[in-house]
Amino acid sequence: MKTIQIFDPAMCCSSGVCGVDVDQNLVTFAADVDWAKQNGAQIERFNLSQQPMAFAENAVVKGLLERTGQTVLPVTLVDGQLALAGRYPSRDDLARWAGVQAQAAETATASCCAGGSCC
Amino acid sequence: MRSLPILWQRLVSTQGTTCPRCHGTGEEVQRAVQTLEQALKPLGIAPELQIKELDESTFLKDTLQSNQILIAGETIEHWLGGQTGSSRCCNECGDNDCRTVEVGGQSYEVIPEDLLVRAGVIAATRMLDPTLVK
Repeated sequence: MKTIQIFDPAMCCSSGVCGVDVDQNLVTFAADVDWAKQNGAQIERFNLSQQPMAFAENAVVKGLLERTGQTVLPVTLVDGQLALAGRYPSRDDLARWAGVQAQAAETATASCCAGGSCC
Repeated sequence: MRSLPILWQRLVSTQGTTCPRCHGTGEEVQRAVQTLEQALKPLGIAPELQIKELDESTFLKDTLQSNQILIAGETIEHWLGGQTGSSRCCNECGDNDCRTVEVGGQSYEVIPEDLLVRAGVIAATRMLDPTLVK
């Protein structure tokens, strides 16, 4: 199983899902991470405000930040290799990188709120 | 070195002028390309900017073509998860509604450098992802 590392922008907490004005992208991504982990993916998240050393000690992330600035965040590494920068991965991205079957991703996506009714 | 094609197209009048919206975006595009050159060089990717002029008759067929930016063949709205909007421009564009970009709940008439850089970085890293079906 590949290791997926997400280097988040500075956020107030580990997922950024808190308070009254929540970014829907963060909510969706947190749910996708939970789903991928439940399907066996190994995912680590690093928050710039809480774990700055993780950014400084990673040559790929450090280099991108130095050349581009924080615009480049979030950065995703898969087994240490740059996989995506500038936006959060989708559930399909996580499934593809982790080797989780796409069928599982589709089933999970359709398991709730499908067919015009919501749970 | 792999190429990251960036196409920016906008209306240019018969007098050779363009509107403030496109003029401003043009300056931001130039700055973004310089930033992307530095950012992507270690990744083996080089941005290649193509600037295209639209004449009035082409513009009037589809006004949203003007001030459109394509990176690797896709709009920046695609890369940023945004949407195309429109608003009245009132200069070289006359009474037509011209292109805006809506990202994260904000609407942009002049596309800022940081959005362009972000879109370029996303497109470039997508090019590097070996698990993506090309």
